[in-house]
Amino acid sequence: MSCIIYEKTDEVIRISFNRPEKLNAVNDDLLKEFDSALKEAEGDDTVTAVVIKGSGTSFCAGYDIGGKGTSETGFDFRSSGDVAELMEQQWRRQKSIFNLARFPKSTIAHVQGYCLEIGCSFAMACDISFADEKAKFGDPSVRMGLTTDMPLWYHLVTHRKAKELLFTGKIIDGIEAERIGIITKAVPADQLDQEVNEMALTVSLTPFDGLTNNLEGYKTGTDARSLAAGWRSSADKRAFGILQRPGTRSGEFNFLDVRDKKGLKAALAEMNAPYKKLGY
Amino acid sequence: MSFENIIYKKEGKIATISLNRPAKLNALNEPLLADFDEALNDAGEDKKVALLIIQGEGRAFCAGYDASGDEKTDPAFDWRNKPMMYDLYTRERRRQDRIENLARFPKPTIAKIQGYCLEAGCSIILACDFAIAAEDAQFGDPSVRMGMCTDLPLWYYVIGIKRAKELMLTGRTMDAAEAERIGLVTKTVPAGQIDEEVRNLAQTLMTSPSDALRNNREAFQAALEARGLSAGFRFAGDMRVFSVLQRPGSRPREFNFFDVRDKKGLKAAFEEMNAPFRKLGY
Repeated sequence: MSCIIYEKTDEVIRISFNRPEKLNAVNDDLLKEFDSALKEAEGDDTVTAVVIKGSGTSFCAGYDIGGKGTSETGFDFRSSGDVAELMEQQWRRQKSIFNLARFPKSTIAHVQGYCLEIGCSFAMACDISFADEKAKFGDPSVRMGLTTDMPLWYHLVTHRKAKELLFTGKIIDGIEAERIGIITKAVPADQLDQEVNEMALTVSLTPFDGLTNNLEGYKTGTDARSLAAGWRSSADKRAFGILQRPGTRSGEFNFLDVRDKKGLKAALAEMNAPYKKLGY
Repeated sequence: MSFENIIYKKEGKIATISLNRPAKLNALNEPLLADFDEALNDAGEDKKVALLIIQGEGRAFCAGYDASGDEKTDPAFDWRNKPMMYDLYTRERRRQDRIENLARFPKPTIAKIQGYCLEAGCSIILACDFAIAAEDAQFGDPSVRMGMCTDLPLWYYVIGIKRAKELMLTGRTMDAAEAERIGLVTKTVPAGQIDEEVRNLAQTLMTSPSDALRNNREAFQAALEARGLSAGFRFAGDMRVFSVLQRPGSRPREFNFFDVRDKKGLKAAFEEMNAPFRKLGY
């Protein structure tokens, strides 16, 4: 494994996203390794607490949009992928998140720096999330003309707040994220390690079968409230988002073209500039 | 890819998984399911595969999960082993995931059925888009007679609540003509015609553009999930866990499948289990 680090002590399993130079942006390899790390953690019945974290300065900045060869080709609407392939890619992506949301042990997110797009989905899918007060949460997909992973947003956050964040692509800090319920608690950066460790140890004290029943009850309950169908409808919309060729209407910002001409950083700056002027 | 417990073939655009324990009427045990999962995954990912056929070698499609209790079956299935909650949930989720994965399979699926198609065998065909049966096929789920709970959700989606309740709560089996009439299978044909029927259907499906098929199937599946299919799987999994924990047969005078099996053997246990129902016409 190179994109994921898997560590285990007597009480805790730690799974770290490990592409720190890319702010742990998710690519195909990372997703695959993450899936198998989760499988390994599920099969290990000596430990009940699993911490999900990111190496380096960020938790996860989102899907790797740096260019070809790093992300799934289906992301680029200019390539002529067929519908079946697109749907499969989107479904695979959603599956990683909902596998984490349905995970049969207690999951704790340890968030610092950027926690955007799929990174935010991962943090929301964990049972408990602790973050640095200065961490940055949000999903700017809409600014690129793409659709986000919706269901956890509207299950965790009020509809008003979820719509505001998703439809404008606004980014908020850890304190605001705690206030609206995306995370459990925001703490100063130097207390984050201790907060996460204490929670992991607390979880490890609970009787395994009792914890399992509580987790299963909760997760089945949220599935029954249509979380499961939500994943599918949001995967469909992501596939359609790509087919609908964002940016091809005249005057609209075309993220992928600008990225290929001027580079990723410049494209993100150009994308965000008009929003910033309006205070978003 | 070669497997011990299934035969996996790819011919042209068609992949075929044949359950291959004919001496045991293709009863499912853990090694067979591991093979099945691997082949299903491969057929889903292989871009050259456009369609999947699932069938059984020998005289039966699949008689259900292997109830012999030998070392290749899941020990958690027997409540007398006092399994841990976590293990039970994990196994049930895996079992339900397999059926869900098949229902969500990205390409059209056809089940070809002859002889017994019971319990988990029925779960497989319920999850396939099409089920073509030979006239000698027999369908049902006798789980309740062993004190266990079945994989419910697809039953009530496919055949309706009243029919599903009758089958689940009595554990009776039915023939292929009835299975066609109530919509459990797509079509019943004489045994000699089943290969041609399946081949013809496969060709028909591959005549439509694959993207159009995919869109139609996704819309169908999404609608079922919006009607609660996924949550249904989880609830059914929970009930299966509870039915193991509730120690079926431990009340006095109730039939105890596992004890009888261990004393008299699998065949005798089935006979003893079914005899009182048969007297009542079920």
